Amino acid sequence: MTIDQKANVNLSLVSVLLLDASQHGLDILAQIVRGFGAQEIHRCINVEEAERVLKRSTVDLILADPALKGEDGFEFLSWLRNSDLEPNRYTPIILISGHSTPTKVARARDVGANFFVVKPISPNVLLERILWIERDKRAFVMTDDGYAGPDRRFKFEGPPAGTDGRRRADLTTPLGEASEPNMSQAEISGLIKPQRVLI
Amino acid sequence: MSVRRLFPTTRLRDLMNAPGGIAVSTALSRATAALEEIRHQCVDAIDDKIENIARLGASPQMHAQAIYHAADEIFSEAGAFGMTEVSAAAYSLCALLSTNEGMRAAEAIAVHVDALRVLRHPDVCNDAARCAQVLAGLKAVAERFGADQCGAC
Repeated sequence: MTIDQKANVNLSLVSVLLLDASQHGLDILAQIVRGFGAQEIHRCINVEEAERVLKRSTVDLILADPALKGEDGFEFLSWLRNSDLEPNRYTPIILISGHSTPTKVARARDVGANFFVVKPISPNVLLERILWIERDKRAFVMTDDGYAGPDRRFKFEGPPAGTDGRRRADLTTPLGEASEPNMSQAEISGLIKPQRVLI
Repeated sequence: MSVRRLFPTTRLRDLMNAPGGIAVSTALSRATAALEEIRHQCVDAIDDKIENIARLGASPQMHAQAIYHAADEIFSEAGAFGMTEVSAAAYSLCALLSTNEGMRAAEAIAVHVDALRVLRHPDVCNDAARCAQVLAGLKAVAERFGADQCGAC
């Protein structure tokens, strides 16, 4: 995604919660979002502070590093998504992580993060992701196995192999190879070309 | 498995589309300038964190988790200020500590601490060839423990 440099960004009314165990990590995030124009910034260095903010006020965007000292940031995000804190449980969350293993990325997806960004963070990348999230229209999904968060299926590639799928449009039998050749554009045009009608 | 799909209204879109705001180019330049305001304090903190890792690494008890956290912070914070070689060395230490053998390898941790100190030295940090040499050495050390280095590439 590239950003249109002439487009406008308005974070002046947006309330942002930052969660990072490092004071300097928080400083970096706060300076960047302040540069973007955000004025209401809640800086939280641990889960307790973040919970207090979320119970007290409405937050519009959460930027969180799940690597917290002695605490599990992923557990906290899962708690928020499954909590009754409305509207904060639906608030878009961007997880920002340093050393990012595939396990961390998978956990981020499975606790309901909207996006995962790898540190070191740059203003350009962060703004790109914020603009992406603002336009994201994924449904908020709740499953009976405990997942709550944005629909994890970004693109539809059919049901998992060996399953019939749950969607009404899922095909239960393999399509197989095409039995007839593809039609050329000329053949298609010939079929649907408007004909002169004499009245 | 049952699935409930909701389309809750969040304020983010409405607030970001409210009249006003600033051009993206202005937002980016202001954010970059705001970062520069805290550069010195963050760079000083990186030096403190390197020394903290050295202390933890020299301790008879292994503090792998604390060292990992400190290295992770150095990776993130040095990278945000363009100190790519320091960031890469810290990443290498994180990758080392993510392996079963690496988290007990006091000597390999000490090599990373020395590399971080060297990369912060004015004679080295401005010399791309020497920086590359130091990082190549670290890569060889980390690879012996099967550490994944791709994030620092």
